[in-house]
Amino acid sequence: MNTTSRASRSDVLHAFSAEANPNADTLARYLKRYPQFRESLIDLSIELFAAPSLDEIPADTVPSDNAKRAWSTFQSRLCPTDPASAASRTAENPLSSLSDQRFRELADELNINRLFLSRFRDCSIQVTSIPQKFLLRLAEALAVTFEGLKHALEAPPTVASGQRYKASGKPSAGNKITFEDALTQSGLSEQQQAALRSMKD
Amino acid sequence: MVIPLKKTTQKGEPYLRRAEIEHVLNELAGLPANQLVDRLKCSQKIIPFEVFIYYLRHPELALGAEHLNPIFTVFYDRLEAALRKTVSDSQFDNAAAIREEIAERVVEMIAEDRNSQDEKMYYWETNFNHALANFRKDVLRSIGPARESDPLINAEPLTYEDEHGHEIKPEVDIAAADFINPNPSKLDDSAFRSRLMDTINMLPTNERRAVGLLLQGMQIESQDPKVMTISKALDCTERTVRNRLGRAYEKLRIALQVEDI
Repeated sequence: MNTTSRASRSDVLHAFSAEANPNADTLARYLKRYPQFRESLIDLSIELFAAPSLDEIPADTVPSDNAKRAWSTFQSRLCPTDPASAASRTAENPLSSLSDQRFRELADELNINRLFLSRFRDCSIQVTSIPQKFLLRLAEALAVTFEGLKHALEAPPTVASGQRYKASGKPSAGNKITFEDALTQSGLSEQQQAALRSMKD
Repeated sequence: MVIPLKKTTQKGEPYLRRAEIEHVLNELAGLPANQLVDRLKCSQKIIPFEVFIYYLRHPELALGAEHLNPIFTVFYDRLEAALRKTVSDSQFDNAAAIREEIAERVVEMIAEDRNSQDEKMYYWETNFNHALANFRKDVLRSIGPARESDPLINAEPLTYEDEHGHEIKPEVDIAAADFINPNPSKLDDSAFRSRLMDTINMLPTNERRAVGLLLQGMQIESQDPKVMTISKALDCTERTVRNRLGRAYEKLRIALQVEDI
């Protein structure tokens, strides 16, 4: 708890509401320390005490259709760039939901680096230029179907997720590049490049 | 890493969520999306509402629709169940419509917060129960009284006595100890609690504060000058506190139409 007398009213009230177990003793402590916010603290303590504990109320065992409808509404309200938006095809890309660790492991398994793999996650490579053999290996490693993966990679290119929310303007991802361009522009070793080229149809 | 709240104190430190919430968020932070969904869906170990708001509100977490959808569904089903308790059919004529409106608006707010860089719902990640209670209060206020026959609306004040205890009717000048005898099982019942609290909220400020402090377990007075008491907190005499409690009690009893509160 902040002890400075300069603490603002909203800071003090927030600190009180974030207390693990606000009770009469907690309130007494705050009242003594912040007498200038006496009435606000008392009112807040009553509201916190009064609020019913909602976590203990079990949901119905059979989910209602209302949730489905609410989800559709929710999803339709999201920005097209949102990873969960209905308009976002990246959501279907199995690479976009991997943890950082799994993403790293996958790159190692495929003997490529993360930059190269991220080009697939961001759908920035022309699918027709990707060797089938490589796609098959990728689909197998991701435990998804070949067709499903191909479909996901055909989505419009996206910007990297880290940049997606910082840009003040409309995100722009540019055009897709060929598999060959990706090979040479991703910092892959000669050996890695050769191995990938050998998969070409 | 858990995304801190963007709102900061005057000193520039981020506002904190309740420790319990931070703890759960830290526990879940490293999980792959599939396992995260399983944990949030688990009915054995209930995850607090605040955690759901966190996952629904932050697009930076990069959860795709396939993972966010089941999280949303669990959240929404639980929200509906909570609203059925706190906006009950027995309390409101048009309870279903009110519940629907509250749920819709909560979902709308989450989407808005998710789309913008705003931090409107930061408090819902800190204290969901309180945030929803306040939101419910706002919606109810905009709708109007629960029903025309709402007992408190038609209740005649029993006395118009002054703060110093003159002209108090003997039957309302009762000992506070007799009045607040909180029956724990009743107070644990969300539906009863919601009704009780709605009624308390309709009391005049002075009475509401006296009742609210008493319910929290604060003593009316104490011989020990170091102990915080209701009369100290409200800066009035012990007698005034008792009078306020007495008046409040009568109103609560009428409004709740029960013998033992």
